Amino acid sequence: MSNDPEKLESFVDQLVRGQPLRRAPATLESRVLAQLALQQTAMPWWRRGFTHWPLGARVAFLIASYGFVRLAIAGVMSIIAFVGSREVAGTAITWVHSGATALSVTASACSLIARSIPPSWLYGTAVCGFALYALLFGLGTVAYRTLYVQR
Amino acid sequence: MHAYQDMVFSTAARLTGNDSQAEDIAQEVFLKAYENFDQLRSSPTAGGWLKTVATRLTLNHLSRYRRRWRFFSELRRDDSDDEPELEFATADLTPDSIIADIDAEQRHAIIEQALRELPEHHRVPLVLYHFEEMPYLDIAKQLQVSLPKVKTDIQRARAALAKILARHGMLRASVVGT
Repeated sequence: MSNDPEKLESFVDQLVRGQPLRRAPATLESRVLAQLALQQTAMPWWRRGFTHWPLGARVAFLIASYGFVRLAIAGVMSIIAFVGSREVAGTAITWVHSGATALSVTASACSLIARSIPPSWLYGTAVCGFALYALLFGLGTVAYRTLYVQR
Repeated sequence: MHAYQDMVFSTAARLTGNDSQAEDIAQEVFLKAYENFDQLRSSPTAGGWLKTVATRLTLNHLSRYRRRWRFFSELRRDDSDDEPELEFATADLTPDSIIADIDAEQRHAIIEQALRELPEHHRVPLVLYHFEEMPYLDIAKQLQVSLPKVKTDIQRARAALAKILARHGMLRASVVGT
């Protein structure tokens, strides 16, 4: 016996060529229509597209958007003017300096604590953590196969 | 929707091998179509769009499902490349190999049943190639596997399909050596 790929391909082709479409279940159309109706009723107007909003809401939204844009521009301009003043710039530099000092002190303290822990403790903790992870993973797998797959 | 529902359902059903999942996918396809109703209403390519979306959603569904359960339930998957080849007396494998006294309707039902019985890693590439007429390269891209693997999987799928058809008594006994 031999396996001729071309013959097999043309055989399957012949089979498939005459195969009609599967008939969709009669419930499909009603399911789609019901889902569409549900979406239409369940969705409030503000979650639909802008073109589906009531006219009043659309006008109010445009006015509010214009107001926000004006407000944002004014806000940005006043922040730029405020930051540009010399006193504020001086205060900002002091804050940055204090922040950097605090960060450096914290890093030194952490490094001191890390150096005072014996390396064997660190290795032990890592091995212990890995073993617990593997154990939990194995238990999960066994439980799944026993309780779910074989059911 | 009437014009396309069988096509959309067939695509999903043949790829998933499961009618209930196919119905869910078909519903999702038509809901997406509704979202794009304005463009699709007058489009001559609406059918192609629906077919493409049906295929894509089904493959997404299958890959989500596969990813979710692969580690636990598919460790013993037999899709490795060292799977033994199935042997056929392909010299006799012609359309005439189909037993004549099976009527067309019965034959169609047996073929659909045989597709359902194929394992997913055989069924999906076979359906994409033979039913959806997708080229090998596109199938490889869609399934994110190599081109040679797609060709091997489809070849094995054809052989497995012929074997299932023989088991259902659709092929002459001389064709498939079991």
